Amino acid sequence: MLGFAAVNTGNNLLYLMVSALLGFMAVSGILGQRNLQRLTIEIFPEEDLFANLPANISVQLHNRRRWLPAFLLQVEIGASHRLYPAIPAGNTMKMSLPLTLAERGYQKVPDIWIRSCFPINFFIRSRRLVNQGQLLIFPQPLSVTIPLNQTESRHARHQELVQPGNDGELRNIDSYQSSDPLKAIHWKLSARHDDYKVKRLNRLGAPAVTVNLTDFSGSLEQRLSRCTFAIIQMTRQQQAVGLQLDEQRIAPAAGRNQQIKLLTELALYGRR
Amino acid sequence: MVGVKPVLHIMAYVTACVGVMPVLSYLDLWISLMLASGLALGLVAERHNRPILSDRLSTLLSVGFFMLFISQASFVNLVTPLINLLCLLLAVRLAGDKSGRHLLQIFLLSTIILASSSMLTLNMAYLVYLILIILMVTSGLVLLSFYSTGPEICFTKQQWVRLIKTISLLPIGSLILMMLLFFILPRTQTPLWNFLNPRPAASAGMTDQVRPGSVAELATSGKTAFRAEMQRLSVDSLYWRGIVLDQLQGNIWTRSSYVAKEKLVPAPGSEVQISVYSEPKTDNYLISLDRPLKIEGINHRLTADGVASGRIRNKRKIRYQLQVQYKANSQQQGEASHYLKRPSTVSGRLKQVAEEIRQQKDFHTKREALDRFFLQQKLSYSAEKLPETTTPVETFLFESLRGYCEYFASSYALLFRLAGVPTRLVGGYMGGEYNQLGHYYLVREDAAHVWIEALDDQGIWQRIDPSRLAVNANEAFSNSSTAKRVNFQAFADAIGHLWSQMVLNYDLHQQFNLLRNLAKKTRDLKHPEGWKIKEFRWIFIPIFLGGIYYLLKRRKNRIERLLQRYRNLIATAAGEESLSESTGLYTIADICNHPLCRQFADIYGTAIYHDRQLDDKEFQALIRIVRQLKRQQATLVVKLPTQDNPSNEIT
Repeated sequence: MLGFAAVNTGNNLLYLMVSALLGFMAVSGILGQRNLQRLTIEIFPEEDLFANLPANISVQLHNRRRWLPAFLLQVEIGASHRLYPAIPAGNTMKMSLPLTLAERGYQKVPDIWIRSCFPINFFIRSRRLVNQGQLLIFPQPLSVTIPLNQTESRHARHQELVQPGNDGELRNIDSYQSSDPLKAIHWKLSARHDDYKVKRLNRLGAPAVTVNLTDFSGSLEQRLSRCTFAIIQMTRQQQAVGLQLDEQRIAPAAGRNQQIKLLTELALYGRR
Repeated sequence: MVGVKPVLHIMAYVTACVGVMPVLSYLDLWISLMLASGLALGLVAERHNRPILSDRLSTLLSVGFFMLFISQASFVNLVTPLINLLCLLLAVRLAGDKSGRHLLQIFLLSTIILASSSMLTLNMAYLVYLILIILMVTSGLVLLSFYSTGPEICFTKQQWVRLIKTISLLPIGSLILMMLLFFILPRTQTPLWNFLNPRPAASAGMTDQVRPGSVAELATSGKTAFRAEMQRLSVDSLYWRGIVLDQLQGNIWTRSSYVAKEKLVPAPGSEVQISVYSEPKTDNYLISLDRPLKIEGINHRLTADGVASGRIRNKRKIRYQLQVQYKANSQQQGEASHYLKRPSTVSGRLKQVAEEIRQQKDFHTKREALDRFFLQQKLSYSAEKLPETTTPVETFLFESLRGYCEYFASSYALLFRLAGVPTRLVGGYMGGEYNQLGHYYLVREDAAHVWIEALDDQGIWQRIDPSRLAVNANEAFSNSSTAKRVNFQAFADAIGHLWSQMVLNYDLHQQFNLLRNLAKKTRDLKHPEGWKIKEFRWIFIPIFLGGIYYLLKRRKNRIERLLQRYRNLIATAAGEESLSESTGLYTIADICNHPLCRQFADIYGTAIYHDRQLDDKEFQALIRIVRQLKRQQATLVVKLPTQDNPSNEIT
């Protein structure tokens, strides 16, 4: 409107105003474009990702520019989004974002959109980042009753835990050390020897179990889901657990690494 | 932590004040009061954190004001009601709620009010307001983006500093581009809506008659008549020719329709190029330094007696170029009896004086005799308390002995004509204040002057200024137009002239001139031998300052750059684009297992762990290490740890 008035009146003061506004549009366009450039995004799962269950992923946005900070960046992954108000030049900002993926196995990260209305909220610029990385999605856990000692035939018992502990069977007799509690001293034996003797106990452990995929009911996906649930539950109870998948057999063991190993096998079952 | 919202609100109020400031003196009192009330209510609302005017009431008031505008506006009276309406809408918005949309309206209304002020005044203060409003509006719009995205966003002091630095790019960039775009945006030769522009007031002009004795006091005006861009000349050469009065009827000198036949006698050494910027005036005469050879830049008619008249539309400011030879004279071609005509009744005393002069043998002795008579009479230059009489020349020469230039010139010319010397009066200006900054003469209305031209024995018209024969001539002329102005005034006038020349008068014609000059400069690029380093000296100032800044910055960041160079070297050896930020210097030394890498980590680590800067010796050592590593790059093979192969391989 001002430009129209300037041309038709020939008023140079209006021309000054129009020139300044045109200049402003040009500079804001350049700033808006630069705001989305030289950004690097990195994604890290903050926890185990299961199919169809939301889980937090950590989205790390790095501003690789030397001088110019990045402002008002909205990162969108799938249906979730987060606002990064300001990232100084050369700095990184990390935020959590809930993500839900439907399929098990290695899944491509959905396209990441970075949108920004900076500097002027008249237009929203966006940039799509195609992420080549993949996320390992475990099968969705489906609850199942886990028969333990009652179903010896289905869940073979292999070995008891023989780890040192406080609540299991007697493991051996040993000399007293300063770190031993007084209640561990075996007074009768100590009386027969010159020094104090203590009882060493095993840890009260559940029996080691090998889970067989064929032991669960339902379709393949349901069996995988139930098997996943069983492994998670047993690991949580510090039980050594193994896995029988067709001809492949993974020996029982306890701990977080074993859980990931088994869940990975289940996630990739039939998808290699 | 300071939120965006309060800062944005303050900026909106300041922007409104800046936008309204240039039109404030043109507003009706009640509208000014409404604006002040709107601002006050807005500030009260800020304090109580709730709007005084509801949205519904604001809309009703806005509609009401718009109806008022419709009732007042007409084709001939459009600008003032429009500005009134804009100010009232702004007042409503200031008092009302301030959502993102409303804040945007405040910024927009303020900008439009400032733009519309250009239809009331062309004052240079507009530029100051424009810069301020660009600064406020651009920054405000950026903050508005933050406000719209997250109304509760807050920043720390450091974040604010960072944000302000980035935001400042917008107004700075906009203003730089403004200077470029202003000169290239398309313009029309004849604007269609010219009626909307402020009308220049033409209050002065050159009369086409000289009538001494008609007024008791000469009204003097310090208003600018024109400015002439040119080199500095001696005061004696500064006679600005306007009109030639060749006909004497009674006591009145007028310009007749007689077509003079004259030929210019050139004086090549005195040629000057002048650009004249004339203020709006009531007559059509084009002022030029005596005598003009050529006039360009305006439609005009230049007669043989050196009088130029132009086609000036709308009594506006005009600009034209002159080619002048200030020592040139013109030679009369043919009969000169027209310049000897005298009034039917002349007093005996005048006849007696004229007869004595007539007795002299040639022009020069006649002139000397007349000069002598004037000096003997002890005439003084004065423009105050002069007698109103029907015989002004006689009264001036023999009774009052006081008068201004018209008295001197008419008396001298009449006596010369009575003595048989063809004579005419020339009206124009004399002198001027030379502005060193702008390289121009400023000539004011009070420098208006009348002198005569008399034909010598060779038929050459000679300029004679009888006012110089006044006993107080030196005092009179040094106190008026040639007086030195205070430096500040000269500076302000130079800026005002620049504003007028560069901005107000810039038009399609100048755009074409600019294009032609650019084309010429481009052609000249092929012949660089014609360049003078002096012409480009201003370029070296920003280059010099930029160089100093770069060197200071470079020194500060040299360690960072060396570190980055080292890391890039290792990354290249590892076949990676870059190393992870978490990979420290000691880790790199472990991975590479290279003595130079270990040495690098030790030197840098020693400085860092002692919390001190690297000294020059250490810095040079690091540079040497990086150089050696670069030379050995072919043998430096690094394999970074991966998930598959957690062990590090070094070859």
